Amino acid sequence: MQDTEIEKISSFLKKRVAEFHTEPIVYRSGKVATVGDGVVRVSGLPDRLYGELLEFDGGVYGMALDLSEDGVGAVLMDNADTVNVGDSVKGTGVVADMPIGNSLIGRVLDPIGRPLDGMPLEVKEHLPCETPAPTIMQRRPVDKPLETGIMAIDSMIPIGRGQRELIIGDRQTGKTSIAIDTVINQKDSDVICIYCAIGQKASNIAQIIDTLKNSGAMEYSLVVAATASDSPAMQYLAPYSACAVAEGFMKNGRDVLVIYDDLSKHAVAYRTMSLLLHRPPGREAFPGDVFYLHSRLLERSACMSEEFGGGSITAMPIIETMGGNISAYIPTNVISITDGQIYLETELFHSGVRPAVNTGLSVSRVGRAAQHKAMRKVSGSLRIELSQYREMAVFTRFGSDVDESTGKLLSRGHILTELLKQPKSRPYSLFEQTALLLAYRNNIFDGVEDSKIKSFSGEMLEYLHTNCSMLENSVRTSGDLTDEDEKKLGEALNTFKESYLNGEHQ
Amino acid sequence: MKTVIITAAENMSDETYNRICSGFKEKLGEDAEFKRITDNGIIGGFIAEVDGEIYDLSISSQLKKMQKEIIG
Repeated sequence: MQDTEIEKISSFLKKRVAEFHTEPIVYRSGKVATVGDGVVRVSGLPDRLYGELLEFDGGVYGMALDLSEDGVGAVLMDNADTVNVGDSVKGTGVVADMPIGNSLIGRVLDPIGRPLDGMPLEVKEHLPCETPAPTIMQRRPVDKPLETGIMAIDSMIPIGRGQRELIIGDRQTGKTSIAIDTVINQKDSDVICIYCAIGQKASNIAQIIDTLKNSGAMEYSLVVAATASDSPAMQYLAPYSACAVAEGFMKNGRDVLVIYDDLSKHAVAYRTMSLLLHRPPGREAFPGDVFYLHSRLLERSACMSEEFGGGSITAMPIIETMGGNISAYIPTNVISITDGQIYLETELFHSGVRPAVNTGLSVSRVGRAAQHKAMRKVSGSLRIELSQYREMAVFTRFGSDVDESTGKLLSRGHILTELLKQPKSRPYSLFEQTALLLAYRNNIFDGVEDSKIKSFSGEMLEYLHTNCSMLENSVRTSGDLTDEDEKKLGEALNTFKESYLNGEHQ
Repeated sequence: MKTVIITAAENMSDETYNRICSGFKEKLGEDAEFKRITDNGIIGGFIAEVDGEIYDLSISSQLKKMQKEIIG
């Protein structure tokens, strides 16, 4: 038995060896002229492609980014220690590409497609990291919502599938939390999520992967990571790689959400690279093409028409501002590229409003069209009410005497602010959001103490889950709240309030 | 005039070397110049370099290629 196995193997190997043809391996080669700070000048090596991967002695890879007649300027992807002057350089003939396909789900990759989680990766298909964006004719308008599960966003700054929504704010304002909560909320929505970490601390990335694993989100997510210790070239490439993976899914008609965390560090990595390659510096020492750097990336998010698979890529880039300054160079660039922004404020965050969304400065330019009908019905005037409240609250902070209408505005605004506070990792479903906002519109919260609004709404949702499951199903499946359903829900809310006030639930 | 650098192991006979040189002369014209480098690391065969283009026919590279193709 064993002998025949061995014979089989040896005959197979013999056959393979016999089939092997020796033919000259022909390639172009150059010599390393200078090395420094991760940038290499190579002499010789003509006919290179822009962005081609070059192989150095010792298996180190670099990317050709500066092509001239007398040589090539390349940035190193790995550690520069092993590259020396005089080493030979081999052109691989391929531009940087990424593996694609379903086997990537649940994995952690680096920007050139090597697995970082210590397990082998089996893939057949690859896509180049840099590809042109879908053309005008390949697209269709955004018409399906992407639910974040965060009421402040879903009601006032709705996001559609295929949209590019920027999350902007100072450090420590909960930018990444919003993105991660959105990923967690995609559990039953058939959306594949890609988290792309650019220049983040490795410990932070580990923590995020842990959060995703614990909430079961890794079953439909993957991570592309370039940490702060990776070379600038790796950090530069990371978002394009993540986008290539997303395009692989989109080609097959899937909806994908990509989070670029964050593009400020991406711009900084690109600035490092450009300065070392001796490209002329511009404003804030960023090179001239820093706008194009982000616009070509974000243009690749799209909602494809049915003839082209009908998939979509929703992009959620993150930008970190300094001292709330959204008119700095990179923030203004990315604001103008994206279809809206969610602006987070330190002041709100510290006063306990979490998520700290400043609804006045946040917009969504296409999401309204994609909002669920039920949500559109109950969220109509929230933005105006909230901004009126914020304005009035500033005026009346020191005075106590206000007229009746102002008093009403203040108390309603206060209730709304309380309602929109939402703990981390507790997404609200469409039905829950609809019920809460309808309750707010029907003045159900009047007469409830401020400190009890949270527990009141929690108990209310519990009551609705047990008593109105029919209604919940119909809202979930149709995404609409018919007039009849609205009436029924309103009655249920009233019943709950009566029983609450009668002490049954206290 | 073009320079051809031929890397070969010690075991290559002068006869073989001359045959390689005449082969290149046919391709590049009579005025090609030749330079011989000895490197036992390539085991056998030769590597020729012309104008930054490399023709690798060494045993070591062929073995590496074979390993890649058979084992994957």
